[in-house]
Amino acid sequence: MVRPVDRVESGGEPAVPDDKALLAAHVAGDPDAFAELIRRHRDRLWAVALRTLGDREEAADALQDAMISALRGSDRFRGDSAVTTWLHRIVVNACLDRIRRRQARPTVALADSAPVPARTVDSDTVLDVRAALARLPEEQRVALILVDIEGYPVSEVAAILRVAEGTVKSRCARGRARLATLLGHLRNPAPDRAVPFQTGAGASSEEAG
Amino acid sequence: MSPISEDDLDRLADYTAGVLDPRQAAEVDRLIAADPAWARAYADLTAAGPWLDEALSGLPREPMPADVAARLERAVQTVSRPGTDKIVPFSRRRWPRIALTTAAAVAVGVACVGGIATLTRSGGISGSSASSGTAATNDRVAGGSGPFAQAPTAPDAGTGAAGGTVSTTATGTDYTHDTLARAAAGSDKAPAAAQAESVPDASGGLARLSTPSALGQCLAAITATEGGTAISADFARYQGSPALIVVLSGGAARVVAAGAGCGLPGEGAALLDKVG
Repeated sequence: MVRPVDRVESGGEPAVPDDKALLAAHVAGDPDAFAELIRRHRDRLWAVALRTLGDREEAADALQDAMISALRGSDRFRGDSAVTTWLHRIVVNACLDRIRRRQARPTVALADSAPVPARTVDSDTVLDVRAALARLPEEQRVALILVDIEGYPVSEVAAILRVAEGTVKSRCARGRARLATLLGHLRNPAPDRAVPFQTGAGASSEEAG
Repeated sequence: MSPISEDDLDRLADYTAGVLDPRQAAEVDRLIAADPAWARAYADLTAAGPWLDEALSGLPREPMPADVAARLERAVQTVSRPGTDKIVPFSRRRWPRIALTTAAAVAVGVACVGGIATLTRSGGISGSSASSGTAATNDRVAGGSGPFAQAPTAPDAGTGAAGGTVSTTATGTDYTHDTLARAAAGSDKAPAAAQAESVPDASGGLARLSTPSALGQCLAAITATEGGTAISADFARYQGSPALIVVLSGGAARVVAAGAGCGLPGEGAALLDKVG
């Protein structure tokens, strides 16, 4: 599991400003500071956007929108979270906005989908996992991407998504159960709702924190 | 035995995550002990855990592609530095394929009379650019001075590559095999002119090659494969992919399309196509 390095490690080059210093420099008028901030974190932000949206062009658009929004709204950053938490929140929200805008498409019921035969982890499995991720409810998908793929701590993901830690755990667990079903490790559950599979993240128990 | 319901699967997932209150957890305990469907679902879900861990953590890393990074940088600089280019959403940068083909054909046809590139045969790679309407694009190609730009890695690579000055353009034209063939048959000049009504992001995916050293390494790899001397290079596309279109003199091929990895260790010339 990948553990993100959120801040500049101490003991390194003393001249390297941390994220908050870069953001402050940007707010103070340094025209290069924000670009440096993005350069520092762009791969992780890109991975989240790409995995969430599953489309390169949409991810690029969402990330650009998000970074311009962050740049223009940087004077409103209060410093009560890490800069990366704030940046990730803006990127995730931009991605979710796009997903919700395109959700005129019908959802796919879990029970109607033939599971993919279970395999060991190989290149085919990578494709299978990506396809299965794309079929998760977006809130479960985002939580899984941040925690189980990108390796962020639950507490930080809770801060990014502005939900309780228990909600993050619930979304991840429910997403993993659905992935297991989609990938053939669990029997398809019996459908018992008029709107299948897309509303699972809203149950009251997941809000327990 | 029927599987448990979707609602129950959510409840079971919450149980495994430890987020149920004690009363709810006790109820799930009871169901697992008493109901074979629950017992099986619990066993399967528990057994799938290690496999899921491996599958999710084993997904390949997704570094930001160079073209996305370059575009993002330009967008940020546009806002950070008023007076630069207008921000254009990525999805609107796509050129219609028909327009590209037409533009390429027109460009090839007028290349000889368009005066887009003056070829010289002395010195190193000049980075000289087309003069008709591509100044901004070529500035980006040749500049590479922003914080996302990559530093040159081999200062002497350029002269060895072509043995002379190579004229560069950045038309963004999307070539096909046919338009490459027409370029090869038509001229020893740059294969495309900047005659298109709008010039797309020519450097998309090719930002690395905008440095003289990287370009020199790429051209050296091409001439090592095809022989001859490179006389012009166009930052463009080939069948939709970022490509450097290089005209050769005296080589086995007259025009080649090299991919974005051209000149990288292990990539060689990364040729996408060539015509002789």
